[in-house]
Amino acid sequence: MSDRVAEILEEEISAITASRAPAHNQPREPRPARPATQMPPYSVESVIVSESGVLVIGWLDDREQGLEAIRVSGDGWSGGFAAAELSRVRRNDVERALGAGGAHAFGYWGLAGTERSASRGSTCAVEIVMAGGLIARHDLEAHEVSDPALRRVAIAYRAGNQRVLEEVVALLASRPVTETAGSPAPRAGGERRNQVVVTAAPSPSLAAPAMPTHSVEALVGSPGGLFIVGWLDDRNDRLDAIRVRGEGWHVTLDASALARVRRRDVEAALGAGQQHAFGFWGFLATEGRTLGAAGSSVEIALRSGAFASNNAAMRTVDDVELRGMALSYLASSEYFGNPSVEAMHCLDAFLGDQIVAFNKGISNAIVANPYVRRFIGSGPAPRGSIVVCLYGKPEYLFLQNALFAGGRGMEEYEFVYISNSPELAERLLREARLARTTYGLDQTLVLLPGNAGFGAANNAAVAHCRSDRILIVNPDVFPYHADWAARHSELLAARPAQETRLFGAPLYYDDGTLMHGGMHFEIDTGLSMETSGIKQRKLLRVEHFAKGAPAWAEQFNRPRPVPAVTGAFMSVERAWFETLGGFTEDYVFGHYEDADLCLKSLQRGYPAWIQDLRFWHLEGKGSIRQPVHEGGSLVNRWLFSRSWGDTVAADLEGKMPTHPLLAAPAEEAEPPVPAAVATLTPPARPAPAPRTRRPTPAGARRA
Amino acid sequence: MKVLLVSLFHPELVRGGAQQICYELFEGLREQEGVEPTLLASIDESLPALFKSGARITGFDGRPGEFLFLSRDYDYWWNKAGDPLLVESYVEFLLMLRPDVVHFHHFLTLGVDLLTVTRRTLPDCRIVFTFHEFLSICAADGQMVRRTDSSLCDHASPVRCHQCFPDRPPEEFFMRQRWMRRHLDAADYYTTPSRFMMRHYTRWGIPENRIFCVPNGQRNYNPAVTKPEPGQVRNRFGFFGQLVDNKGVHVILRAVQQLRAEGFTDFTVEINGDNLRYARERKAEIEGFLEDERARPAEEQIVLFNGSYHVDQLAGRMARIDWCIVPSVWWEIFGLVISEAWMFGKPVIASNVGGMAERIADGVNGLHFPVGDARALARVIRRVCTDTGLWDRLAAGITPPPAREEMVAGYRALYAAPRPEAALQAVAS
Repeated sequence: MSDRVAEILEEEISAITASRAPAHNQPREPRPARPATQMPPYSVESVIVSESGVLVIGWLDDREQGLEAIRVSGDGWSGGFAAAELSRVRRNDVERALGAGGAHAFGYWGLAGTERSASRGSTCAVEIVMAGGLIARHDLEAHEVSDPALRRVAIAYRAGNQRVLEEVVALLASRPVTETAGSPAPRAGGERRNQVVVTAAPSPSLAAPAMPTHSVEALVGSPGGLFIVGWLDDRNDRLDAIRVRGEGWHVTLDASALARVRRRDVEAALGAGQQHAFGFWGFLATEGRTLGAAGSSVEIALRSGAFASNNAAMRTVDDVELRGMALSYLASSEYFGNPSVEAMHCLDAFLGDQIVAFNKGISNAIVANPYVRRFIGSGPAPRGSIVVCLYGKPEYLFLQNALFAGGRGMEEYEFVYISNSPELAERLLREARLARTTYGLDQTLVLLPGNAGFGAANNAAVAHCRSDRILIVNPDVFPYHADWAARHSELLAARPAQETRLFGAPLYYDDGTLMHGGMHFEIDTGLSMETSGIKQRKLLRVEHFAKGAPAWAEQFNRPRPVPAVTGAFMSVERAWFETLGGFTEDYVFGHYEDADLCLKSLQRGYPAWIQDLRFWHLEGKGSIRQPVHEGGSLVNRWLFSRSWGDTVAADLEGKMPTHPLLAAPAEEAEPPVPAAVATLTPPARPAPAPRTRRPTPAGARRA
Repeated sequence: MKVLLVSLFHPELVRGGAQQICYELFEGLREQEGVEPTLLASIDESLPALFKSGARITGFDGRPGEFLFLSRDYDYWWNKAGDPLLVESYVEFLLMLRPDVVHFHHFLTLGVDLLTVTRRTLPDCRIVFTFHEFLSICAADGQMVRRTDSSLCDHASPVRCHQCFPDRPPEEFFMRQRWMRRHLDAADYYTTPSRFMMRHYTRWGIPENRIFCVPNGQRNYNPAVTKPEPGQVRNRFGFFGQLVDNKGVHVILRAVQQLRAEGFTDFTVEINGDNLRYARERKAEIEGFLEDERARPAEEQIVLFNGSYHVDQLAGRMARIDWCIVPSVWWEIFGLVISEAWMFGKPVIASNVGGMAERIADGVNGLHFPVGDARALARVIRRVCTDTGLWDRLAAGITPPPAREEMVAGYRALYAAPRPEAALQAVAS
């Protein structure tokens, strides 16, 4: 043993014994003589050896029987500790496990130096000798470390730093000593304690590879999910799995299930020059199984077999907060390649399905028990139900009432408002009552205890509609014409049924330009350029025809089938809506459900139509977008692309898709230009492009 | 004919032009044969002692025909009633009273949506709405003064309004206009006290055939007119009104500073008014000036601050001045103070915009100066102090201001006019 290490260890031992353990030669109170026949609960958790020392760690319930000594022996060496020479420390986990309420120090550890190397042999035996004569023998793997590592463990133990301790212990776990030569260790009585008795020559090489630097930064659980974040330097020895343990459960996340992300902070700290995604995060939907936080730990296993155990305390949050964490992390993660492409790959492997399932569980729970309040008169059932999903902005309830009401035909319609903002409940109840008094329209208010998302909320609201015609309307949509309701009713009566089974409407920005005249699909090919190669990813994009076009560009307003219409305004037969299963509820918060519904309808033979019934749409002003929504958008695009990528690629791509049901209808009379639009007409109106007569859509023939 | 006058505040509880004129009308209608007026005046939660537990509309101090609308939970952005129970009480009040005419003087603290409630409750009643400033058009306190540079604004648009309120997107102002128009559409007729206001409102969208100018009329507070002595030095000036930024008191004070710097000090300015606490950017400047002025020896003081006044004190205050200065830096839609000055034969020196420019003929019955221009005002002050014949000529050009009776007659004609076709159609639908 070198003088320097010997000095250090002496200092450690002195410090520890001075602060925690009784003095070596301090007289002890005699324990009452009490015959014992059964060994009390105990554990020998680690024996760590280095070239110059040995450390033993464990716990023992010696409240009834006193501990006499602990002997340690390995191949070629042995040693022992009198009870007074061991440090006794508090162990909360043991106290919990034993239900011990007192202040007994169950934990023990002891450290001894040696003149010569003790690093021999893969197994060792530890004997716990009780004062009453009972002896328990425990065989276990000894862990070999360097002197500095052993010193670090000792310091960690002295400081109570469990995390560092566990890290070092885990670092050693896969590297047991292997030399076995030596003579049997002397037994208690004439034995030397608190030092290693060397009985064989030292190993020529004790340089074991170390567990790479890593950190588990967050371990968060909820009633329905688990989320973990950290980083790991696995450049040379790749991550194999992460195992999360708690009392009575464990989860093993394969490396392929984890997102690997760029961590500039880690790169800087490690001085890493090469491109390597040090960061990792994982998410798991636990299918309603609540994982207890008690006794949680995280084990990081590498492909070489090395692993580290981290005593990571799991924080518990509710499902909504956990979803927010996962989505925010997804949205804010950095990658070396194209962020969209890389995020999609992360979702592909495992995370996408987990987030979708978890989110759906949240939505289902939220819509299961709504509070429903009706403010309705005694008149006949309405002809149409305007379903509006509110989020964040209560004023749209009274603004819509004010601007939808007052025109011809509105008395035949009802509002069904559903709120995804529980904090607005009182205000909305007040506003709905006020609106009923002020405008006289029937309204139903459905209050949800959380944000169920657009699809689930609208589906839930439809269940409370009293008519056979559903109008899905965004809160920031307002009629262009005061008599919109009469126009809508007349349109239903005048147009063929297949054209109105599901239709959308031209929508305009506040500046009078076109916001929506139907939607089409594009396929983006995302490229992620990495040194390891080029990743490709096809992603669907939903586009509006001619967004921002002047109002006089009527080719986007005329009645025609389109690949999809926006959910900002959508009029649909209730029976058809229900046949289609309503909006798909897999999307997070809201996006793509409208296109998804239209594609479901098209798949069943009925494309969505545009009908010339105009509305204002103050897009994006009817709700409040938060960072977590960006993560939702990524998941939704991933899901939509996975669900409909092949369908779109077949014959729905582009502004002029070749799908037979989307052939333009026969030329119709030009719709009259409303006065409000006419004022926007420039003096020299360009001549419309010549149109050709095209066959009646197959869907129309079938209807 | 039963007429319900719905007023922003009661003038005896909260002073202001809209409520003052509404109350003049109320008193005038009372004197009319065959007219049964009722006043419903709002109060807000700044007067909690007048709120009665569980009540929403109550009487006022035992006065017959006067009621208080106990406003609460008011939405000052959308100018909307916030309490369903209050609105339901208003409906009950309407059904109990069943007025032939409901005449709104402003909607602040009441809710612009009360017009729709009124129309829905009493489809056949006549609804008249009097604009007392530009709150329907302008969210910046209805002043139409741009918050970007304090310049006068001549029209609203979503983007221009967004520039005054950068934290609110243009779409919000697009909605605001529709919200306001939707409820104002419930009225049959609209009135403004001045013609220039009509231009703002018709440009904003109010139909030209439904908006009329009915000047604000007041009873005469000066029953004993005395003939002025000609050829006197007329160097006493007065300001009457609220000391809020847009009333422009600071312009007078800067003019005084200018003249003092020039060594011209043979004049006095008396400030009559209150509510300096509501001033914003000008508050410190005005307070600082008045403090400095008070610190001067009495013989050096030019500006005297007299504080607030009641209409009954007007004669005394007017007797101490020769000229009334109306230096408003906003449009000043009518300027009741001009009428009051004229009642006492005092020529008015006023900013050359809005209601002031419309009512005062420059060089005939008063003088203009460029709005906000303190140096120009200083030149006018020096001129009128030194041109001893000028006051006599301008005072002789003053015609009596609109009388209460004229205003009552104007409104009665409107109450009796056939309902406009558009309004009837709106009701029918």
